Amino acid sequence: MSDDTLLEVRGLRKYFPIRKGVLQRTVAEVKAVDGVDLAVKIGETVGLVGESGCGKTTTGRAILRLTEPTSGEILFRGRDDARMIDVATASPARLKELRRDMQIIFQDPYSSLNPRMTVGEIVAEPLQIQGLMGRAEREARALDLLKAVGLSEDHSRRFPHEFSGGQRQRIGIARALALNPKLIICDEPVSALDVSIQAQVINLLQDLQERFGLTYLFIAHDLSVVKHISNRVAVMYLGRIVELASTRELFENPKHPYTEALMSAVPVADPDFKVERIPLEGDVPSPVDPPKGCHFHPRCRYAQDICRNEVPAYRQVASAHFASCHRADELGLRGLKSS
Amino acid sequence: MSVDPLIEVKDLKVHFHTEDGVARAVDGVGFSIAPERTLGVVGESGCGKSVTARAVMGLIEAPGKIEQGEILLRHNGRTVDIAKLDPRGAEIRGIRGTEIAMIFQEPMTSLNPVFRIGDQIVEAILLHEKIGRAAARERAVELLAAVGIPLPRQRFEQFPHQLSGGMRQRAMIAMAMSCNPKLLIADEPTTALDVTIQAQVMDLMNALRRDFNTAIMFITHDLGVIAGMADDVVVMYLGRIVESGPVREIFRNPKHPYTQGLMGSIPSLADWGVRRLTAIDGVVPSPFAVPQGCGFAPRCPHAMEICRTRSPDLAEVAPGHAAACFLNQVPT
Repeated sequence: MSDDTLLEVRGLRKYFPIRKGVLQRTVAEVKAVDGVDLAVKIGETVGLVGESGCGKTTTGRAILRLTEPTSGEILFRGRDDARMIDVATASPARLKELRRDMQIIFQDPYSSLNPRMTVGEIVAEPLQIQGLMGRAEREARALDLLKAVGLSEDHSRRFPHEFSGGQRQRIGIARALALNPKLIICDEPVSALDVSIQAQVINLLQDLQERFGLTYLFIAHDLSVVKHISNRVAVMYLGRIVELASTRELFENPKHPYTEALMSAVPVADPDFKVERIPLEGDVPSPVDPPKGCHFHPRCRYAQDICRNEVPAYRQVASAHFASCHRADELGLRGLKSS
Repeated sequence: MSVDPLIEVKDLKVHFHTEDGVARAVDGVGFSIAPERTLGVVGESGCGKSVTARAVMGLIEAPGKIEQGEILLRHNGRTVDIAKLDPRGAEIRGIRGTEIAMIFQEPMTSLNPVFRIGDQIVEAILLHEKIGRAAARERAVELLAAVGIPLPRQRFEQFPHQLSGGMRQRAMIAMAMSCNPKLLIADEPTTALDVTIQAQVMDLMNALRRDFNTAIMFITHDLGVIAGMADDVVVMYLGRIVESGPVREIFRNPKHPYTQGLMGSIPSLADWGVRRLTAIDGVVPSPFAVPQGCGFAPRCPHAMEICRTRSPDLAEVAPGHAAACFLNQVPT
């Protein structure tokens, strides 16, 4: 592990039990996250992309222990910078301390703000919970934060319902910034917003990253947004990361057939941009009973016998490029041509 | 245009009379759709695109009211003004389904959860056509197959919750196509779907349009979807059309600052090196308090004095391409 690693997730799993009957016995498990390995370096933005149900949001929540992971290590570089601390096994007191450095921005700016608190109280609440600063100081800090996200001081006495979706998302961002964290997990922060507002928030996130030296784990389903904001991108499918590379490498030189198909499916805002769409038959299989072998094989047009029987290893296939596909070395997959 | 339009909307205004005041949801909109063409209607939440679609379907009910304008449809060899029809009357019922059909964003809320998929399609067919139940059943199975639903006979017997989101949207499309409508209105039909499923549904709609010779009014906020589906585009903002034209013109040569702003707001998958998006400042004003002059002026980087007092009309900037902006016209 290098010195500039901020977060390293190893073998992260989160299974949700399905209970049935009077005794509420566990009859099956939803394998929402099924062995995720991921490292995030200081100051970078790692995009985590995938379709609904792939486990990307659960991964983000498990990293913060907003949902308890079933197994795995979540190593995070703490306050003292010296050593990595395992978030997964941290005591409640230690966890609270760790959360000063790891915050989250939620997808839905409506349900993630308490309607009975003023905006100033919402933004200052993390400081209050952590027992930092006196009341007056907290209020002053809240005003500074509101200004940093493009709101004004007089917004602090108002309530969330008085704000539009984009403004609410700014409030959520100000709250995430309050403790001066190192890592912010952005869970679909712009997908509920209109296009023009989405661009404002993306620009704001980039400005704040530069200004405060933030590290982002950016979870999204929109490949164009992920491509725009990320230094590296991880693609998830059915609870696992199937491919990880630097953004440009991933988009121009994909090594996993799912990445190739996903990219070809994105509608490009250019009537003359003709991609040959790679049809993905059917739907994503159920995470309760994932297919044997490679999870993707029932929808993969390159699948062979080995794919149906053996789980492919997640391995390095090119410089700093990881993929889990038996045929990664032999397939010449189509990426996006740079123009 | 040489062909007579299938439908022609003229200066349509739909206002909602609520306790909080009058919301001018659609405030003077005009466009036409020729047979077998796809018109893309693009705009952000609250721009009036869905209300426009509902008006064309004759679905405006209180507190909404069509204040003025015409929605002219050629029907049984004559021209009918949908805007004048009673939303619950017999005539509009004869038009809905047979002439114009509609699919919605969330297929789960548009399908009845307690009836089997197949029976819902059969009902739609029997309502509009004089054929027997057995024949309607056969037709429904054929339609399910035509929209790419595997094992259509088994799916026929299933309930909506047993289908995935993509399959439900296919079933909705099958129902909409059941009476061979001349115009299909699709209101954000792919927005709730994952990108790979969205691609399947877009391909399906493009194929159906060729097979059934249907014109489509495709409403979306997604410029990528518009680029892949539409022949012609209208861009809406605050209840008005700010720009209209052939799809290539709109994307290559956008003339209205709002269209330009939208284009700059979306990260491109096709090129590298754009570090910063050119976002549009501010927010959409409330439809209860539409600004005087051009609705976009408060957010427009090019706003001039005249923009704050007078509202520009759509004016042609190139053949078939019009924009409602004083930058492109000499004010008189």
